This record gives sequence, structure tokens and C-alpha cells, in this order.
Amino acid sequence: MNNSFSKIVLGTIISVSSLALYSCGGDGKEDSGMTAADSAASNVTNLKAQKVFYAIPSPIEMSKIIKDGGANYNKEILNPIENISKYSSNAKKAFNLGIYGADLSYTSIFDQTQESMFYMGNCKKLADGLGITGAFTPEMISRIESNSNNKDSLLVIISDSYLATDAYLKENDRANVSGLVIAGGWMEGLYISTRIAKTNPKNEVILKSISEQKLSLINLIALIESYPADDGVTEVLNDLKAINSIYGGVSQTSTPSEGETTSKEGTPTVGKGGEIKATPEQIAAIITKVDEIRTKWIK
Amino acid sequence: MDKIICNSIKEKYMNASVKKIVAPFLFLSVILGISTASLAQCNGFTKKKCIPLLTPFIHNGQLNSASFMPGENAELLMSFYSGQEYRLLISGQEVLGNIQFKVMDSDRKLLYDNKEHGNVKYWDFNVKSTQQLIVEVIVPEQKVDNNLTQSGCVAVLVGFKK
Repeated sequence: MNNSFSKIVLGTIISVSSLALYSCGGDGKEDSGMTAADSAASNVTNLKAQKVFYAIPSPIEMSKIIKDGGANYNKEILNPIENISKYSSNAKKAFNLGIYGADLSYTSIFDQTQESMFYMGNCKKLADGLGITGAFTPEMISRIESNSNNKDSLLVIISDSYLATDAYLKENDRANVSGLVIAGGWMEGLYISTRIAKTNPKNEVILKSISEQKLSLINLIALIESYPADDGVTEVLNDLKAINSIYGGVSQTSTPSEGETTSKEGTPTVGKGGEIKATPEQIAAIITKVDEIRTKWIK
Repeated sequence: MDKIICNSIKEKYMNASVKKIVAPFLFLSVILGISTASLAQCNGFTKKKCIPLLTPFIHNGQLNSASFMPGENAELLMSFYSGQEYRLLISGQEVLGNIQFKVMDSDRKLLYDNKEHGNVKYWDFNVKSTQQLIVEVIVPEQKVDNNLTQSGCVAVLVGFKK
């Protein structure tokens, strides 16, 4: 026993030393692969890593689609800034970080600089509350202030914040929290679309966008299911599945992938043709269900 | 004397029990520590070496990167909206060689294979209609003289045009 224990301790020292040596390698070494210690650990990493990645469209992309659809800016549909004081559990903080993040994307896409600063402030507070460092730093806030008139730069900075949040949570074994943030962002994007659809029931672009969330929702459920279950994850999964039960009836037609076309800039257009179209009754049911779930999370 | 021997045996037994309990935890924490550090390195590689290649596209804010051994495969599933232009970027550390990626529709019909385009790292495209695409990432096998193969990081990123 003494002998095997010594071996474990020795192995520990060697592994940690190797890792420390590698970590001190600097930028030059970063691109040259991993050391023996990393190779030894990679089996564990690979066991943990999902061999199937599920990616969800960004809230910024959703906001862009909403704006492209001709919708006007409406501050009243966003989660009020002052609601932040209501969020004490980690699950609520994470989900509402996603919601405020989507609101931040929406205000930025519509050039509402002052509102964007408020929502960025709320994102920072919730990220701090969740112990996420490096995502909404004072430097990032300064970058936003100095780029407040440059929407493109603003969107890049916001996108960097999402990425830093996701990276921090995954690196710290809190991918389930990241899942809640992503789910909150997706839910708010859909909620904003449904509010617009409610007041503009003939906006075909928005109706199409709501219908097409059928596909993202399937991936989102698969993503959340891949994380270890806790109370927050279980609750969100149940909420998403409740919405999915409506989307299950939404029709989807498709024609085979053929006849690739190329734009004048040389970008190909590929894949299947077809459409996903919800009936007015299904849209109404989605509006009601999303409102009910979102209200539960923001109160 | 008997008491001293008895105490000594007891102490030895206690030490052995403590070690039995502590050892697996120590081992596990080291492995978890290394794997977390490895993921952090992988994320570092993605942020420094891959994200800049997405410009002028905006990434979707999700970091899909992991450590791979030669010969391993992975898949990414994502829905893409019609009317948007996308950049799909797959990049691996040099030690892994040329990473191959294939883009398929939901019936797994091949739409793009970077091997047929000089192993480029990214592909820009639009979709005819909003749909789910499957991206298959293939890390090439490596012939090695000894049994040691090196793992490396692979990043799978999606960006959309502003």
C-alpha cells in the first residue's frame, strides 16, 4: 500500500510538474500540440467532451432577423432593468443573464446606446453574481462606451462577452450553467419575436422566424440534456419540452439538396429547399406558452 | 509490549485506510485538474488562433472545442437560417495535421468537403431554406514509430455576417 501510494503521489508530482512546465511555455508552444501530461489527460477530456456538438444561433443573429423583418424597436417588451433585484438563485441568475444578454443584443441592433449600457450593466451584475470573471470586465464596458456609435464594433464586443462567459463556465466544470444562459437567450429571442407577431400578425418574416425555431429548439434540448441534471437544468428542460410539444405539430416540407447556386460574390447557396410553417393556431399556442414560461423566469 | 504492538498495528491499519480513501480522491482531483487545464489551453488556442479567422463574421458566442486524438471524429449539429450568410471554421493544432470537415444535409447528403478544396479551414455559404446541417470533423490517423500519439485541440466555430 505504501508503495502504491508513493507511486500515486510521484505520478501526481510528475503530472503537475509537466503541466506547470507546459503552461509556462507561452504563446510559441500553444500551437504545437500537447505534452505527455496532456496526452494522458486527453482520454479523460475526450470522455467528458461531447463528440456531438449542438450549436444554437446567437441572440444577436435572432435580433438581426427581427430587424430585417421590418419590426420597430419596442422597449416595453424587454425584461425591465429593475427586475435584476429579484434574482437570487443561481438558476435564475443564469437564465436571466441569457435574457438580459438577448435584450442587450436587441437594443444594440436597434442602435439604442443608452439602453444597451443599462442591459450591459445588468449582464455584468449577474455574471459577477455567478462568479464568472473575464466576461463583462470594466475594460469591456469601456470598449462599449468608446464604440457606442459603431454598431458593428458593439456587436463584436457583445459576442466576445458571450464567448468569454461560455468559455469560463466550461473551463470551470459549470457547463450546465452555460446551458441555462444559452436557453435564456434563446427564450428571450423567441419571446421578442412572439410579441412582435402579436401586434403585427401579418409580418410574414417574423412568423416564419417563429416557425423555424422548431429546429433550434431540438438542438437546444439535446444540448441541455447533455449536461448533468440539477434543479435548474431539469426545470428548463421541462419548459423547453412543453414548447416543443407545440412545435412537434408544426409542418416541415423539404425538397432534396440539388442545384447549388452561387451569388455574384461567389458564395454558394446549398442544402434542401422547403419550408417550416406553423398554423395561426400553433403560433397563438407558442405565444401563450412562451409568455407563461418567460414570465415565470423573470418574476 | 503487547499494547505497543497493538497500537502500532492499529496505527498502520488506520494509515492504510486513510490512504485508501485519500488516494482515489487525490488521483481524481489531479486528473480533473489536468483535464480542466487542458480545456483552458484548448479554449486559449480557439480564442487566439481561430476566432480572428472568422472576421468579418460574428461568432455565435459558443465555444465548441475539445481535445482530440488522431483518428477521432466529431459532429456538430446546427440550424442555419435562409437569407443569412455563414462562415464555418474548423481549425486544429498543427500536431494533428490537416483536419478534414464535411458538411451534410439532414439526410447526410454531402454538400461540401474541404479535402476537395485544398484542406481550407473555413467555408462561407448560404442555405436555400432554414435547415439543420451536420458538420463532420475528421482528425487524420497518424503513423507513429512508438506508441505515443499526441492529442491536440480542434475548434468548430460558426459565424454569421453582420
